[in-house]
Amino acid sequence: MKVDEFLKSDPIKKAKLDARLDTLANISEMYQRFAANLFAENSLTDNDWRELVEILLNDNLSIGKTTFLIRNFCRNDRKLKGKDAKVLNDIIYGRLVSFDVFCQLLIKLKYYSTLEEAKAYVRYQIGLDLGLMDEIRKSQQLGIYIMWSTFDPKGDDPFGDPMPDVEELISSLGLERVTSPYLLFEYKLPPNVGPKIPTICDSYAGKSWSRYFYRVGENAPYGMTTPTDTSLAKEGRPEVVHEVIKAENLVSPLRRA
Amino acid sequence: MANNTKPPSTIADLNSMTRSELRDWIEGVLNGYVLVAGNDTLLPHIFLLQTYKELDPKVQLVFEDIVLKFLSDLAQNPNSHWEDEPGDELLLLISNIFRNTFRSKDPVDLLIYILEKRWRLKDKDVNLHWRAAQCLIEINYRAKPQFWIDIFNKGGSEYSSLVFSGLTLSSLFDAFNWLNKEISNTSVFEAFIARLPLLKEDFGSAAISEYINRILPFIPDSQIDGFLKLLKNLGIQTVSNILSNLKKNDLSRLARQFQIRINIEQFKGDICLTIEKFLFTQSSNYTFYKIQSSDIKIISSISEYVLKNPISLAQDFRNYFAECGEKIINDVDKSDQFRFSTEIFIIREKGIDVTHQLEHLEQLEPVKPIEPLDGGC
Repeated sequence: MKVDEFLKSDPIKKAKLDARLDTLANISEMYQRFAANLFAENSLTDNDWRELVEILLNDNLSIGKTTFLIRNFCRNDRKLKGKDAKVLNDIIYGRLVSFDVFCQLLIKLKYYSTLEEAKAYVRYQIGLDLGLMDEIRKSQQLGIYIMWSTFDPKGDDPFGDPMPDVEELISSLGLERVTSPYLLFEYKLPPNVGPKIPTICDSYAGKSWSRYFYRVGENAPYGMTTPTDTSLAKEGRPEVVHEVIKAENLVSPLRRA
Repeated sequence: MANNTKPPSTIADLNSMTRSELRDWIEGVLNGYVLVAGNDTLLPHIFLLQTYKELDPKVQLVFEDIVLKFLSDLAQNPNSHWEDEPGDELLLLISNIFRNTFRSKDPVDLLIYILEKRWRLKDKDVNLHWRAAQCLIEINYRAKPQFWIDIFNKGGSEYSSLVFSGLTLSSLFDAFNWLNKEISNTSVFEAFIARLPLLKEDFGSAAISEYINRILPFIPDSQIDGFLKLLKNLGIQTVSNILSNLKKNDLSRLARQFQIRINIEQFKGDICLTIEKFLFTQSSNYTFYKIQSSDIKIISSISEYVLKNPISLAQDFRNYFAECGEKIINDVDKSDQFRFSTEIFIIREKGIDVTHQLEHLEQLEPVKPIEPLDGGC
């Protein structure tokens, strides 16, 4: 259900919501994107909208508190709310992550005692044949909370063949450039993990919100990224979200982008 | 909405903030009240670290003072509002900021205070006690070995990686001594594995292999194959690596050595025993024990036992010594003196009966009297 549909019997509330979202959209590009995505969202239930609209229409909340409550609403039970993405079976998914950020993630997950230790281990794993990966590492998560992945709808290499320049890749995936080098992950989803179309709840559950998340329309088979810099990449790439998977699901050695 | 002021959007905005504005902003980001634009993997502390690096040096100092103040609250205020996920992000931020500053020791006392006095933080949803210990290691604080051992004894296996890392900061010798004692604990072993690539980067493979040779005998059987594979991938040479390059025919050479050594031992007297277990193999098929002893009775009984029961050797080793050699092993453990007077090699091929091979060798090379050696225990 869309929010317009939810509020169709209450035009006053609808007008109030429009005004509130206008206020938010004027704050920054990030909130502008949020407002647009809210109207495009179609996977929330009646109850979900009731809760979310109530947060947005509360006059007594600061922007910070409002966004804090939206975030809490979005991360509620961490369940993916999107519809199943229409994707070929058994295809390879890909993910591009900054080396530093990935190592920080491993620290957050308490897999290593120091950042340098994590970095040394990841360096060791780069290019390492998967058959040589030790059992301890196989059980480590590749993400936290949820994971976003790209893929090729025809089932080819998720990053393209030949792979584009890394700057183009970063931009086409809608990622904000950081200074450290990037790592490429390629994996298959285990049978119990299905790809979903990303929703606003997936995008706005964290303490950072993407300025480039674009909620696709009702009939879209899967999500699409928005390029961060159209001079580097003219088009986005297919994307899905899914539950966090482990290193044992990698299908090719970790490599630098 | 109340307080609908725009958040700072540039570094210049932050540089021009007052101290209290900057404090509120940092606190807001850590708590999620101030949203930041970024990818889904951009955790608050990573964002703040990136921002901190771009600030004017004078503002960086203010930034450092502010997060130290937050840490002080977490450490000393029993009702601190940092006792949850925001506190986790705060400690991660402090680790990252103070690791590389000339003020790296500034958080030490507050972190030690948490470690010593705030054990109850361990039982929260987010274990901030653990994170504080990690923070102490990240800023390279070299505590006495006993400090870390006490934390392990009180905190348990969850602290294994921190304790091993903390010990390595001060002394590899202490770290491996502790490892020797605790290696049968899976968490400790995993902690060691996780740090191995960094140890190799920091100290070089030659230095590390010396220490690894000391602990090889004590690595649990279930872990040894994977461990040897890891060493090989990392390019760390060990006794096992060297032995693994022997061809299968060399088995007989080792077995011969086994017999010869036994005979040497027949001329020695004092009690002194140590056992080391090395695993060698090309295909993980062999377990190789090196027994060093100068006690003829022990040697004879071991050799007799091994020749009769080569397959069950690993499993029964302890039981066997419990019967005939416990006292001696205990004596050696206590004195911690290793006397390398002689050697016996025993080979076990996993899943394959090698008894006949040993017996065959015995027939081929009957025991010959050998000149007694000088020395001994």
